[in-house]
Amino acid sequence: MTVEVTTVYPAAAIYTMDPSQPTASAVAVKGDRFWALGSLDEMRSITNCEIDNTFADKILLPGFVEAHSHGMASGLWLHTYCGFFDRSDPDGKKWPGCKNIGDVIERLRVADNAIQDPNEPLLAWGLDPIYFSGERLVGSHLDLVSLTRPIFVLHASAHLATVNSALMRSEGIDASTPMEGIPKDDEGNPVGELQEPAAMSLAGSAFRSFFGRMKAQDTKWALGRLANKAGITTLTDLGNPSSTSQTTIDEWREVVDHRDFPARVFIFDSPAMSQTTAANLLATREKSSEKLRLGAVKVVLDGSIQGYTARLRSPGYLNDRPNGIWVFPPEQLTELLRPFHEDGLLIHVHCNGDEAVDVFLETVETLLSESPKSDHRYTIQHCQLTSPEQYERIADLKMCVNLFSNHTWYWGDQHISSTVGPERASRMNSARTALDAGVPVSMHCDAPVTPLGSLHVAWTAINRKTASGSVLGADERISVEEALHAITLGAAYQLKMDTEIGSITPGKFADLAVLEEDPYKIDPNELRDVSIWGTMSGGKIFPAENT
Amino acid sequence: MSEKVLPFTVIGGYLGAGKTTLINSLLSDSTIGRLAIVVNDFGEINIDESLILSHDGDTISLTNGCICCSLTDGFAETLTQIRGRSNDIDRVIVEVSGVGEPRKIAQWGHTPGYSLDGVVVLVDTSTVIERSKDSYVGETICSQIAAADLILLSRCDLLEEDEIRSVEHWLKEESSAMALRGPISASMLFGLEEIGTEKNFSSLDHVSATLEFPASIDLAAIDIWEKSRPSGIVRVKGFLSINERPENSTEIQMCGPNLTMRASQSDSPKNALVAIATPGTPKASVIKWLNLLSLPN
Repeated sequence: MTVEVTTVYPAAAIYTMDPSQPTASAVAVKGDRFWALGSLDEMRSITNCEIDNTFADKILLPGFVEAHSHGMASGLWLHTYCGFFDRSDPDGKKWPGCKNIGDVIERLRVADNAIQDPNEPLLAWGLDPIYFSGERLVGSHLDLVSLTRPIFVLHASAHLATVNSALMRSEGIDASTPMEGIPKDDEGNPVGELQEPAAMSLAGSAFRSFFGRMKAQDTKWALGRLANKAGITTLTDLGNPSSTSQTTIDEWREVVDHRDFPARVFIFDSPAMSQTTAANLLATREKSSEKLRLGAVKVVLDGSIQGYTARLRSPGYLNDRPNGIWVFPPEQLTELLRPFHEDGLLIHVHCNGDEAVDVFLETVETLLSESPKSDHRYTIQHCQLTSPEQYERIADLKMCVNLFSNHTWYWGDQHISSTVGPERASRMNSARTALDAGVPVSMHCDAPVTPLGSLHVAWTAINRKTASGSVLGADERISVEEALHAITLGAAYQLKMDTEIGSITPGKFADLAVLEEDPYKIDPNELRDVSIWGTMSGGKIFPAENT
Repeated sequence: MSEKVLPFTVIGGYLGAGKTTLINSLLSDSTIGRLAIVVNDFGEINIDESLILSHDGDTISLTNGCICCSLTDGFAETLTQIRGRSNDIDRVIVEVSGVGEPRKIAQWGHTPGYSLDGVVVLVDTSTVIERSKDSYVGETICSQIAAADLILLSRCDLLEEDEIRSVEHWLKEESSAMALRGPISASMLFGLEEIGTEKNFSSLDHVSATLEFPASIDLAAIDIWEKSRPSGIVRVKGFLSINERPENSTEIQMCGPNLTMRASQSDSPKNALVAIATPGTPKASVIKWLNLLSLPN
């Protein structure tokens, strides 16, 4: 009988997140699991072991776990990136941010030249005019790129698009178009902005092609490459209304279960959209594999703070702006969740505003009093404006929070000046308060809303810097240790996968983030710049190959 | 060739306002043609099993020619599918979710191949004022009411006359739209009266008046007429022959304050309009208003 080889990986440092053995200098891997942990000498005593020095000068952490991302994070890269911040595509190519309208035009000109077919629309994404100090991209700007090729630029909010004259001409969008959400100039002609989905859909074939192409199987492979470059070994597709369809499952399994795919993917259903029953979701959960996880619930209760659609408690938005919207009726949340609660399914609810948090807390109180569950792990997703008193209730109910820490960097300045003002902006994503209340914390990027990258998320929670360089809510900063825990074991806990991933513990899946620098030994202000060598997923090594 | 244009009506209102009841009654009303009903999910409408001809993914076909479509693939895709079978459909009705924004959804009615007919918002008369003060959903309810072209009061049978009147009074503060007491015939929602056959609304005391015009009408006259709409007018529907548009007869639709005009698809319809007004409106004033159209400039 042959004994399976155990591979021993010595490393410059290993941080395990396992309290009984927080550090080690070598880790042994057998098959797809961690086998043992300790010094290299201790590991040499393992029967039939081989030493592999690939990581001899690297720093090993548990593979990062992104508990709030979306499958479409990679598909957008089929189109031209026009966002304000630098961003890397799935092949590792770095796209500098477009800092003004001139940059956007230049970026699109290059893309225009690269398309052979003169009729093929030029599709772009990520435009965020909030950073362009009041100047608005309009159709005449895009006409400087092409007068003949239709151009469609989706804004970062995904609620609007800017198009050029050629597109409006070919789709018949003109002065007589009666729809609201199509701003017109003094002569009554549309300026090229299409607001909200109904208006965006008038972009016809460009609109269909933008979203249609993103469904290709290749985009799933690209998602794996994005994760790999970020040190992420488990990520989520949080809210997929077709997660119970056999076709969807087959398409995901074909990619994720492939030994060359570098990550685990957990797909949550959206029963408010899909009408999936608890029985159906339980049956779907049984179709999970070691790498593809299914059978959990995501509900969206309100909108976003930067879009002024999150539901806020008094005093609400600045300048007496009206309160946000309910995406799902608050009075029906208990009824919607009850069957999933009864069957013990994992439930995460999107609540950006503090009023939405109240509704979720009341709902969980009701459900738990009807039918107590000892280990429910109800998680508040985003949870951005939550007050200390609400954190006490969250702790009492044994709920978890997954904070949208990246907001501090990407929109912190706008939250101070435009949405909620400095006092409440300081308490946004208050990880310190949450941890002090004893609430299990994770943090996320919500890719594609912000780039897939756990170290950036951790860096924001540690430093709380805004894009303009000021520190927002200094008292809510947390330690490097706490932040790294949140993006590994903290996130695994909320996915109910903490017995399998999240720490370097013998018996768990051998999932690693492999770093070039030691996050505990650098200036915490530089954590986001730590180079990621690659990952290990289920014992298989995946170097991040950058182009 | 002019493509068929489907009238598009939005039905909104908070949870429990009676949207489902209304839609089920529309589905069983044989006088309003073949409907495509667009809903968030089929569970809400609870269709009588015996009416279902086939169930194909996102579409349920009924034996009476109506179809129900769910929004699983989103609005753009669903409307493309309905447009593909527009020869078999006479009208589209969209049910907005209980917290949805009817005015936003109404914009889909301007999609090519469709024509926005109006936004009907249902109100549970017995609870609306109390719920409008609810800290969670009060603003949602009020913004839905403000977005209406026509408000339909449900559950009036549970209330005394003075209670209904106080709700009607309150609604006037919240919305410029006309409020009608339900239940009403579907034709009231869509203004589908056959010209010349005034229905009897005696049980509801709504006022209906029809006027046939002997000669073609100037666009300028329509402008003046529209601006002089007396309070109480709920719906206007019909066909006019307009001097500036000699090639086709023009179909006229007015739902609340919204006037829509489009080339008629009927063969030589009558040059006539029917107007419907709230109970208590003097019929003479309605006729007088319609007559403004035939006055020389």
